[in-house]
Amino acid sequence: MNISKTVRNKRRPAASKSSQATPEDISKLSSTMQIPIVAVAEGIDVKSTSHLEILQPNQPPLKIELGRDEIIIGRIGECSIYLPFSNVSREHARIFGKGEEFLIEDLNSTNGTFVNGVKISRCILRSNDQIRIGDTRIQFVQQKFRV
Amino acid sequence: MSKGGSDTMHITFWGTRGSISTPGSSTEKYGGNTSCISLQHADTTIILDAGTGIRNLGIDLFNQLKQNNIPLKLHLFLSHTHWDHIQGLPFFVPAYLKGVQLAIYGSPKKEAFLESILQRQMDVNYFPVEMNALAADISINEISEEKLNIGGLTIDWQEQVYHPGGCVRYRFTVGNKKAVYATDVELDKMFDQRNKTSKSKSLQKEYLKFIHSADLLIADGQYTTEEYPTKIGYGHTSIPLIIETAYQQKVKQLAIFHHEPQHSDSMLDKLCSQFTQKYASKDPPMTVFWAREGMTIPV
Repeated sequence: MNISKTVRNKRRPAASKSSQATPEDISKLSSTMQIPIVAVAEGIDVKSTSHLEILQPNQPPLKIELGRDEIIIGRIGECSIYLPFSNVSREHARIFGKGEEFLIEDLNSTNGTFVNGVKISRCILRSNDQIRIGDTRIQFVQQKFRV
Repeated sequence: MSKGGSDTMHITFWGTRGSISTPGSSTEKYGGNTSCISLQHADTTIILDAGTGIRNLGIDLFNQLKQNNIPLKLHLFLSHTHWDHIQGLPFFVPAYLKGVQLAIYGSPKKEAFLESILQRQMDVNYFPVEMNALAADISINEISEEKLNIGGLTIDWQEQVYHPGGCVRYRFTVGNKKAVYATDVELDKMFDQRNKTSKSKSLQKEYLKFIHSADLLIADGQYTTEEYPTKIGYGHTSIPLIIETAYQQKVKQLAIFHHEPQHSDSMLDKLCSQFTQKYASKDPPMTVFWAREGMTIPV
């Protein structure tokens, strides 16, 4: 194949100067209000709400909203989520925010922290993830929306 | 992060996608970055492949360096040099930092030298910074030894022939714990019933022995059974085959890896629910999960 010939054949004849539309002509034809792109981008914000739904044996479900404060889950009374069970470590795991995400981290617990059945050291949480600590099930729920 | 016992390896997924990066809301959960995994054992940092996921790992390592001021000594093992396994390297921040040591390892059986393959990716026609201009102390090594010892880790490796251009699988051992990284291999071809030559039987045996009783196997599971017949020869494995093979070899935990770019989060969720429960309820059980970005597993 002769490439230069193919390229030459694809060239279109230049439009005559008189028939070229100027930017002014185009703006006159347009009825759309012009909004600077920066203003559009600044006007969009991603918000999210996140909470935990805690299911303990023989207990009604408990809902905990997640904010900026770190949450410690464990067996001692000082923990934000207090799970007084022998298969839960004193300070078992923590949940914390980083940027737009929440993470769970195992705190070197004896029996491990599980996300969707997988033992983890650390994990970015996604909506509907099922966390298991001892016999307690915790569901992470997140809703993201643009405002 | 918890350090676990002194023998614990912490394995983090930074990129789990195969073939090409797939950003977007439909891949947010499992991730859209291509292959990259880190393995931390005590002070030793191993990186497996340099797909686009290595960019975020680089940022994380840079933040660690700022915080701790402990010089970075990194060991990057490449399974092979297809784009989805090397494309993130030019965006790896530690490579631009003076004082960082980065040792890159790969197959000695490439037609071209590994060094020249990586340098060509950073030719001025493809990228504005040439590899020679990187400030880190970078060494590129074609592996010659059967086994390597780095920190407390023993690393052995084998060539995988059932992938176009070849690919290397690696095994990392600490005490009695074993983690295997065996991506980009077409097991459907390896275990094809028509393969009856002694060479093919020997390759099958080598593979089975290599993954046997692994505490974690990270394995190629790109295609569904329905997809595979239209992808023969692409060098990737169908999901049920790798899961059953791993189970037969007494693998304790299997991470399905190298996700097909067309597979959305909801599709991977469906595959996960189809297989995870089935193998969790077997005796003995095997944990099967689909690797996802931002997940760290203790082994």
